[in-house]
Amino acid sequence: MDKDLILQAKKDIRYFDKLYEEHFPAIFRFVIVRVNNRDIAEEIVSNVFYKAMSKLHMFRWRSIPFSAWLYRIAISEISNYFRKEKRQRKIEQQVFDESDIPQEEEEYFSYEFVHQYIKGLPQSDQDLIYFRFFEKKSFSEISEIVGKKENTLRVNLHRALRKLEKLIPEEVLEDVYQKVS
Amino acid sequence: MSIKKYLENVRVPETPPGPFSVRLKYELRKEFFERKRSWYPAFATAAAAMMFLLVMGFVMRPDFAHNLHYAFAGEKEVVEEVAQIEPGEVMVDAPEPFLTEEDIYLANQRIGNVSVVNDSVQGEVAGFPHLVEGKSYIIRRGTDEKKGNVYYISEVKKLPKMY
Repeated sequence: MDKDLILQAKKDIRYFDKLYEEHFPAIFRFVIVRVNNRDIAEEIVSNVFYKAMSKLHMFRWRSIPFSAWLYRIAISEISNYFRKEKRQRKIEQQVFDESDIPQEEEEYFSYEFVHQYIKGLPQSDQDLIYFRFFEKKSFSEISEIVGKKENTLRVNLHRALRKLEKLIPEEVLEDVYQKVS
Repeated sequence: MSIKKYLENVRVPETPPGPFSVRLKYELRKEFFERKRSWYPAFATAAAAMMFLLVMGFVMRPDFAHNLHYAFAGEKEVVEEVAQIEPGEVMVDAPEPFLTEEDIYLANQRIGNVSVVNDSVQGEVAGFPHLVEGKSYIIRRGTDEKKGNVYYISEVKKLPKMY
């Protein structure tokens, strides 16, 4: 389905619209969660789609699906952004409000709480945690996006979680464990 | 106990893209489709018109193709125009004749050397019974060891006319 859509989207604006509608929400969600700033997220998402459209004629349906290709571009753009600006920790604007989460769903834990520690991890670990826990993607799907073997990803994720635990102060971590137990 | 359990139960708040989604789509459409559509028909129309004119030029003026070829591939070949004269019309710039008067003179001199009226052979062949007055002959003279001079006589049915 996606394959035909891409072939048509190269020359037909109607198919481009369909392709955009199908993939924009996921890419935007991924980028805004990673950078946690709406203006920057919009800039990065614009770059992602501009690059994707510019290189659409080069995309060949071989090893990875189109969505994984878009995620790869997004990961590259996010890395570029953090590398160039070195301002990951300077971002003050918070786009998430706790009130965004419905009150009745009390079984869900605070994203804001964990995000402040996740952003201290390397970019690749952040990507892995995002795809695995927040997007609920399988290791197979993550493998297509980041281009690593599934077993490698399992080991990487395990190490990333250990690193995350070390970033959280002990007393706070105890509190977290109490909440989930 | 681990942080994994915590992460499995974290829900990322919804962050609707708002008008940005529509704005980006509009910009992408403008960048990748409308620009292409604006120049493409104009280019296609111009190219088609040029091709049509070229083909019509070849059909209506075949020498156009010839000139075009020499314009790119080599020196232009000089083609002399042949004047067409209506009956009774006087040609002012008459083309030069094929033979000039000098050519005719020289030719007559050469024919004269082999003619029966050549004084040098007239006496020798005057008594030949085969020669009929009023006809033309080509006479070649050879030498035989036993008989001496031998004459080969060929009658000329039609002499070339000289103007």
